[in-house]
Amino acid sequence: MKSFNLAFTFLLAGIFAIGCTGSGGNTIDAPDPLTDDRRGGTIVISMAGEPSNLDASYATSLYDAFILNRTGAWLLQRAPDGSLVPYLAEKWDVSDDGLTYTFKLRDGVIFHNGDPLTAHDYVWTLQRAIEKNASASFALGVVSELEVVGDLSFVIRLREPFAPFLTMLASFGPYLQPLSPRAIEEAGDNYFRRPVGVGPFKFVDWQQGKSIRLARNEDFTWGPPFAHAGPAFIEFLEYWFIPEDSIRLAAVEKGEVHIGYELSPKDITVLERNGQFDFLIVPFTGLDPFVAINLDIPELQDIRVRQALNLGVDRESLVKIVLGGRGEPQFGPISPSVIGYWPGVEEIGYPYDVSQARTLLEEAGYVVNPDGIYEKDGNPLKFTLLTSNIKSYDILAAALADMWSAIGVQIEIELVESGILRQRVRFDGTYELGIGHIGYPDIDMLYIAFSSDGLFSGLSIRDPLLDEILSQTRTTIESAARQEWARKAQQYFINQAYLIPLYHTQIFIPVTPALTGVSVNLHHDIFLFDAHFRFP
Amino acid sequence: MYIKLLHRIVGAVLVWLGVTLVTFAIIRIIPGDPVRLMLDVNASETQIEQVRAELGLNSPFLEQYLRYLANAVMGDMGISIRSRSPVLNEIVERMPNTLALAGVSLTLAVFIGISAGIYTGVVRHGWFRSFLKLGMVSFHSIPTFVLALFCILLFGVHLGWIPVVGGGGLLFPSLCAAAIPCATIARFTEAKVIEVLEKDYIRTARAKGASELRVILHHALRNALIPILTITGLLASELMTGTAFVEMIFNRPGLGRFAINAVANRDFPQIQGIVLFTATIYFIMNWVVDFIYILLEPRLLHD
Repeated sequence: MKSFNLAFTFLLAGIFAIGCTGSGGNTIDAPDPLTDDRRGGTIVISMAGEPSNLDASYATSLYDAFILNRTGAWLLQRAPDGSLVPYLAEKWDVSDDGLTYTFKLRDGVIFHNGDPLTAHDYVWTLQRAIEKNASASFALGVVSELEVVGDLSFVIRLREPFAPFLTMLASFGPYLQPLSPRAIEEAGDNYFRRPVGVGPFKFVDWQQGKSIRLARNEDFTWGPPFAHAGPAFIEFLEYWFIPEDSIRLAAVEKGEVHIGYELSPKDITVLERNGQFDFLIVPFTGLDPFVAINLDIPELQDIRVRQALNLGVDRESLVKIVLGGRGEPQFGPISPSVIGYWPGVEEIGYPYDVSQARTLLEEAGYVVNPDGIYEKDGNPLKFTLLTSNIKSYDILAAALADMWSAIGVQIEIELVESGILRQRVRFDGTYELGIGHIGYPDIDMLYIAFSSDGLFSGLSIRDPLLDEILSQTRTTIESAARQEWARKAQQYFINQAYLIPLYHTQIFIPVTPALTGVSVNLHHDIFLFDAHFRFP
Repeated sequence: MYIKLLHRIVGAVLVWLGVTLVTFAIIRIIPGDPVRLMLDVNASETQIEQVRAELGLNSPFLEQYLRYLANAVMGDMGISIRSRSPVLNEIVERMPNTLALAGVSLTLAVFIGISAGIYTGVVRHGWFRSFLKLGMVSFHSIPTFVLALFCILLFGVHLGWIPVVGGGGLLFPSLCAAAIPCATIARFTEAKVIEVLEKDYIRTARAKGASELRVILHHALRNALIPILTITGLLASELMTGTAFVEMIFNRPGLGRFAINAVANRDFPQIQGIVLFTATIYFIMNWVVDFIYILLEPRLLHD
């Protein structure tokens, strides 16, 4: 794999990078000036799983990121409005060839253990990740050299131009945050259980299987442009690990939890009916879900069959059936909040058209047999659809099977555990049609997932023309030219019907009405810089 | 006596070997690559290979197994793939929570189960008996996780007596875990009490003028107790499963939840560790039961 070797955890972990609506749904109230007597309190946040490694360079899961988001800070941040803003980097400069990035760090930032943050620490952290081949190194595959050029300045050189680099530095921020060399040395093998960062909250304690507690960092004197400068208003944060869906819901309903991650659309409906909650709303960013088409299957090598399958999907109905209306049909390979999205997909994407689908199958030489199924040479047009029961994918699969039977294609559903679904679709390629999901903030996602050099051998399309277009989307730096390649890529996916996009969801995060000043960005990162409880 | 003990120990070792071998094989057969699941940050093939080599997952099956056995004998159950902590520590850390839950559950199950069983065995009619029977049938037929959810819904959400997360102490979680064993013990006790009460020595005891209470507690129950004990021993080991559901739903850290997550993550060392641990619990329970047998019925020692 020559360059950028990763895709990030959010997406891959099963929840995804998400983008903002821009409708204001991503912020609850503007912060108002606080007097000291309104500071304090503990916010309880629920999540379904537990972090496994809080050494940022080795962290892999979404849950690791939830904690590391609070305990750390990094070069650039994705603001709630979607823009890239300075975070630890006061300013940065990109050379004309797109190969050299110079960062100047903010002065006066200190680690939770009291050590000042320097460019040496930052470079040391990134070099440690690369040398030890830690998980964060996957985000640095395109980096050729790191160099300290001043106490607060350093340079990152790339092997080749990589258009989404700054976006990636922000998206992967939690994993690429600077670490304190002294803290790591002192904690030794136990560092991953008690992280030390420069962020607005300090790690306090981790009760395995139960919760993690963080406390306000009083030395946090700065802040990103979208929040006030200085320590957070809230004194403590508690993250509770609640694996059971219904308990997560009940805990939010009863007010035991103030912010509830990972609630299903069904649970959100319950809370909406309750009428007492505010919601942070963020659209899903990427491709979730879609039906992956295995091009090794002879019948699926015929573009007309792939087009027919696309035409046979009633996306509007899927949104109603599976999401209770909480989503939008998707026609192209990436959702609107992905950088590089081209709105034209809605015009050229496949509409729901049963008769057109049947015509295409007949053109491909299929005839209807007495069971109402198309067949050729006595072989019925029959596929196995691989799915799992997470995120209502089982309901989705049943609905798809039903829709496709209306165009004369027989579907057998194979239900497997979600880890197995992912393994088979992404890597093993042992499926015919398989429900997949990928979340990613940039169109580079298509290169990572579908190109011959990508990460997912099970999804790789192996089309030289597609490979060329996709590699242009990552190496073209000039933004108008890049957008043009992005358009071509999306157009090509639709023309070739290489996959079956379905819909994109919105993610709702309920917030207790007592809490205000909360916002969220593309990456599920809930900002609590300005958060405080409303006092009577 | 010593021969018997030796038999026991040899038997235990054989079963341990069997358990480890079977688990070792099964978890390698089920699909899902632990390294891929762990590195869902999506490493390249080379990086995946490297981690796999580090974890010793590339060596031949037998070699992996023998290495594992050798380490396990030394008390080293390996390092978790995901959390990178020693599995033994992880188990020991969670053990007190589960033992407390299982202990309280078992006590409740035995106490309530035997009392209910004696009552329904002795008193053969009346509304209270029907009530008890209905209760025990319900306990037996409602799956633990449904009962636990119902419990939280009723006492947590509607009545507000307990917090939804954690269940506020051991009482409610233990009651839920105790339900099925309790019903089993009650049914079994009832049957035994009815059986024993028809025996000649009961008639003799009554003829001698012993009080009914003495007849039931001293003569009947004592003789019914051995089979009840056997079943309780088995139930105690099965509580591991019951507590897993209760831990999941009441959101209590413990071994059951640990085991479920271990399987979901395909964390081989964790799965092996927990299976070995559970097997050990079974052995210990069996020994304890045998020991109590002998206390109750010294004749068994000579058989």
